Amino acid sequence: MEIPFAFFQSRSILISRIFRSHSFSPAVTYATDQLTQSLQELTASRVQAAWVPPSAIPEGIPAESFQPSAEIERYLAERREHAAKAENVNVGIY
Amino acid sequence: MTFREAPGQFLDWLDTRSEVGFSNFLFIDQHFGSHPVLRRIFSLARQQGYRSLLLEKLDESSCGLLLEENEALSIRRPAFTGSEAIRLSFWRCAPWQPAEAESFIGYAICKTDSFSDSKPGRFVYEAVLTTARRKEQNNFVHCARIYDVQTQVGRQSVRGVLYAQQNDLTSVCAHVALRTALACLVPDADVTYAAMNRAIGVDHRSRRVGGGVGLSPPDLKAIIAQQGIACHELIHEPGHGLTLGTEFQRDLYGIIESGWPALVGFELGTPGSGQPSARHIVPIFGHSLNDDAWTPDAQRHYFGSQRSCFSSENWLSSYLLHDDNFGPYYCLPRHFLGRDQFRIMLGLKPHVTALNAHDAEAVGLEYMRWITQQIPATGCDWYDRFSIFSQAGLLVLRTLLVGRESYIEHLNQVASWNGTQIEGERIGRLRGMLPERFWMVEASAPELFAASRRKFGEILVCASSGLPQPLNLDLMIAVRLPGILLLRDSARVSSFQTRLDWHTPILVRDPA
Repeated sequence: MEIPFAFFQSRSILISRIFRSHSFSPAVTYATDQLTQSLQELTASRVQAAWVPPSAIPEGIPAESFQPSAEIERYLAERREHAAKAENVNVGIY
Repeated sequence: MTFREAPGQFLDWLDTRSEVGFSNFLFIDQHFGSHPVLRRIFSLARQQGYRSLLLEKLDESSCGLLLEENEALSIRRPAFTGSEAIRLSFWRCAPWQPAEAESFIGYAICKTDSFSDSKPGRFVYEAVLTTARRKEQNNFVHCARIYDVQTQVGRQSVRGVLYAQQNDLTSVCAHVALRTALACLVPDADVTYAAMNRAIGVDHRSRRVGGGVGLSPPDLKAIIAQQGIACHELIHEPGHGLTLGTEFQRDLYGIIESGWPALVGFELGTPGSGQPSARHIVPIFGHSLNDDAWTPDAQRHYFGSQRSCFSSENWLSSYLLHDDNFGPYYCLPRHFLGRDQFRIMLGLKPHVTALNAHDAEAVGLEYMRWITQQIPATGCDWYDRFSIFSQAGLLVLRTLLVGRESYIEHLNQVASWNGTQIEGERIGRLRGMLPERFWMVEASAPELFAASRRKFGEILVCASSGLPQPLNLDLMIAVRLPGILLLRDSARVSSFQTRLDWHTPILVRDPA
């Protein structure tokens, strides 16, 4: 029996929906897509006859240009808070 | 004198080949009361092709440690009447054949204590066997030690991790776990229970252990400190309002990958069942890896993880441990012990660090993001790939504490696949500004790390200073990436081009 193409198409859509609706992370999908696109652009740029390397690497970068992200500050604050609380918790016998 | 050094009284040297009909089970049933841990030890010896078993009896008069143990036992249990200690050593050669160095698999001490008011107690006081699986089988034990054993057929050496079993009278699970872990680090490669008990005031009269009475976390830390060892502590006690926000495995991996052991304590039974729960603690000293692990990608893609990098711990398959209840060299699958059971991790460190591996990795990742913002591309293919992976949040990070000389040796060895090495002048410049020890956060890509154990480069993070609030560049020491070396000085980060513009091997310690 010939299975109609629409069957496969509907299955494919269904599987895609299951992944995306239940567990597939949009942020990771975006990151992977971004990675693929960037690697393709990198490869393409190297075969262009007119391609020239970027301008010279800066000799020095001022340290004050570093700004911590909100994520790292939040993460480190949580770790500090946990460590401070843990100093007063000495339970359990081994 | 230890059980390894004491001259033994020869009892027998048995042919244990299966083709002559020797049965481990029957022998242990007949002579050692069907002891389960001995069955495990004998099976490990069989796995390594043992062909003979040397039996020697040890005596208090020539073994000071046996005398010390028995004196403590007689205080703890006045009904104690004496003990028998047998040294069993395992050989790949047949009996009475010249025992070559590679013939020796290891030894075990079986101690049987007798009492006037109860049945004898039998346990494996200690055992050291070589590891059956090595790095060729993706098993990594970074903190094994070499033990010399004086037997009736000559002095032999075995490289392994010391295993010990509690007697539940003068030692409990915490003692034996500590003994294994401390033995990995202290100069003598062993610590006595008497020394541990002295450090915490267990004199077997006013303070006793055993029979359900164990050691508390402050006891454990006091014993570790008394040996001059530093400790990274991680506690998860949801019943006391202290919940760990991250998985303990990340911190555990940082300790193990740096070449140190750790103790992991957990709750037994079913949490929340209303029953009072007992606890157990085990020493962890190695790990296995799975190059083809599905979990790193699957975790991120299918289960909603928003992580912005992969830790190399994602490719870890099992932790390697001893459990005094069962025997040496078991594998603990990653995440088998979850938050419901895990309660404490004590990572032993021979050096004090203000920052632990997990936090150093987070700081290293933050610095890498900043670098790729400042230098998004250099025209070097592999630097530009690094930058792309970093910006996409898909770097693999591996963090370990390294010494200056060990790192410089690594730099002198690394080369690209076409043989290009980093310039000596660049290494010299770097050496001049390195502290004695620091965290090295290696950066790689999933396929690069898992398949070929190579990396884009590494960032060196200060281990002796605490975290600045807010985070700034004070902890950055240097960064080496394809074609570029970045060195931190007082007000800026200086860059230097290098001819090494490819990926390079990760730093490999010498595993057992």
